[in-house]
Amino acid sequence: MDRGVRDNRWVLPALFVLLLAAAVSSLFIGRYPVSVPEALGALLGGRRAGTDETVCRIMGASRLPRVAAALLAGSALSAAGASYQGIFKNPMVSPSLLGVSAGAGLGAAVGIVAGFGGVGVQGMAFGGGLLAVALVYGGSRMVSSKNDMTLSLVLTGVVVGSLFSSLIALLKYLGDAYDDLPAITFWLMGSLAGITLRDAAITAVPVIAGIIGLCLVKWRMNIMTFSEEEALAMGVDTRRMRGFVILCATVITASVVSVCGTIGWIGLIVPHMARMLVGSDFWRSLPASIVLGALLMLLIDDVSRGLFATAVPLGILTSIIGTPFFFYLLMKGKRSW
Amino acid sequence: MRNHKTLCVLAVLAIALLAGCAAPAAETAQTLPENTPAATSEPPSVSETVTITDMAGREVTVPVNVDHVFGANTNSTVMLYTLTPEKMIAWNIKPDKAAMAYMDPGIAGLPVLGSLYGSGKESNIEEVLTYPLDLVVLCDPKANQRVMDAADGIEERLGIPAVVVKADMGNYDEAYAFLGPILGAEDEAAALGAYCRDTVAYAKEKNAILRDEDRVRVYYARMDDGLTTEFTGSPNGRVLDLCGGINVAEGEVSSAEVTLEQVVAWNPATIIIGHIGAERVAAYDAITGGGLWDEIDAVKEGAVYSVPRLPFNWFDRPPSVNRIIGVKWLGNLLYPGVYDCDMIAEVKAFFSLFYHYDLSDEEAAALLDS
Repeated sequence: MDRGVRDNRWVLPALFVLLLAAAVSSLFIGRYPVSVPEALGALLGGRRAGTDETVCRIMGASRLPRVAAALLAGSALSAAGASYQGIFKNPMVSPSLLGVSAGAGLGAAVGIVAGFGGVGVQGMAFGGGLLAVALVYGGSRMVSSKNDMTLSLVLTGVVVGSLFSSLIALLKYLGDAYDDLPAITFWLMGSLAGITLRDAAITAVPVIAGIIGLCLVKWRMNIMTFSEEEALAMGVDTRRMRGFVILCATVITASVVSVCGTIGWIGLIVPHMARMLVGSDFWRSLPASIVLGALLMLLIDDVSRGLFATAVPLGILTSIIGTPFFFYLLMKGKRSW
Repeated sequence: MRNHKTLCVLAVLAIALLAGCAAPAAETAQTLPENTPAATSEPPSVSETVTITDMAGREVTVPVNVDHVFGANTNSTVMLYTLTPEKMIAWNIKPDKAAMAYMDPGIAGLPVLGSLYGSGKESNIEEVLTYPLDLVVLCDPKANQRVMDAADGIEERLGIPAVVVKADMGNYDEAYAFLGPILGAEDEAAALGAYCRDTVAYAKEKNAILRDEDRVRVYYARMDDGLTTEFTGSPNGRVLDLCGGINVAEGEVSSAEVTLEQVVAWNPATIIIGHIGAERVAAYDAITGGGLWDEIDAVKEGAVYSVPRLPFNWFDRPPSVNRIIGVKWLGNLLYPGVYDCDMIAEVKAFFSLFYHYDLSDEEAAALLDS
């Protein structure tokens, strides 16, 4: 199934180098004219080095946090998507499968209508995301008698997700039209614009922990792609394993969504791109997804920051930029699904 | 073969990356030098500052001389446009062509930078910073925690002071009195504030003498089909409340779709149509075009009116001082015997004072012809 994968060993390091280069060059992209020496001065010496104050502000309050956030969001969503696609044995699955985005959206909407400030809304969104997945997980355990929860999880996820989406719609309907409604709509569209370094730092902790967690079980995830019986026969406790992967994926997705809003598409498509590049062995497809997701998110955010005088919601750009690229890969790859 | 394929993929990635880097850089290089005095070698003037308490109770240090100001949302920008249009650096959304006819071309043509708060396109922080800017003004009817957080966030990201102005129908005089000294336009602010205060007081006075049985039941039609309305729970109905009209759509929700059957059941005596751009024609045609709408008293009596919308909507969006002239317009429309305004004169006076534009009688009549 993975003919020629050995020839592709260099892909992952190459992607990683590309990501590093992209991350560094992204710091020099933006609407405000900042020369390379100025940018370096601001990054290395700060205001003490005599760099213009506005330049310091732009580097510290705009570019650095956004580059960090794009890296985090892209890698988190792709890691979660790749893991879900693996354990649910379904290529159509995205990180929002178990309702985490809808839950986070509802939490944020409640926070917005209740008049909470930024941190309150983020906290509510994070809590809402965890709550939704807990409901889905608990619910599916109640309805599935056998050990194989895959189908019941997916179904409960769909049900809880649409219930939460309806509740968001209800809140939008009840919320006041000038204040709450646009705030909720905008939140749901996803944006990295308001992000601060502190936000990025706080998000980094759960995201990195979750990604490490997922990477630690890469080998078992490979086994999970076989049938339930085979996996059990090979000594993998599929239920605990599934629970652990869902926990990690939920924590990282909820952290990202609570700070950046819902950013679609990345978690669904990037794992496919990664598999096309390095094959479906989790040993390499998971790290490749993480690096590729970060890279793609970074590029999309660069376009958003650099090309337009007013910010374009990321969700729009992710699909407009990503879809043709994905089609290109499909045509090149011509592999069977 | 396999290797070759992978190479192609990586090459595409690399090209995408390079394109992403190159395009913005090139564009920035082209467009910036012309319109960015901030980026030129003007010596940084050590300007004096003063610490004030804004209308949300936040302490803000602002320059004594504010020459360049940006409204964080359309609500703020309308207020700034009435007070010190020459100090505005940009619009949040592009004023439409019809509205530009009533504006100084230099101001109508200001750049469009999106909003720093609320709905609409979000500003690109770096783009905002390419313009000289002393102060950001954030007007909101509530000035609650969310607004204060937003103002703090703007200060943090832009490094420019941001003041919160609590501005709603009942306190425009206070809002102007707050903004006037900051923008060095006390006299103008006093005149504008007084006009708002007098208008609201006038409407309240008239409202008090209206008998309940004389109050007109009004349906506010929005969208192309005229079947979206603002319920009584909406802040967008302030003008109607102030004029003493009865909103037939009673309920705690704000903006919502309703069915035609429901509108027939409400049977309003007057319908007013709110609109953005071409919506007006469509909704007017829908309502007066026959069918079930004909069962409604307002349609039978021909009491269907479009809200004037230039240069800013007279009834609601944005909910700023543009609504003040709407109070007189709607009061006069609903209760011609109670309100005794000469609307041509009123509109001319309002445009002159608020929009710095002297209307001819014909222009005023055209604006009012709804």
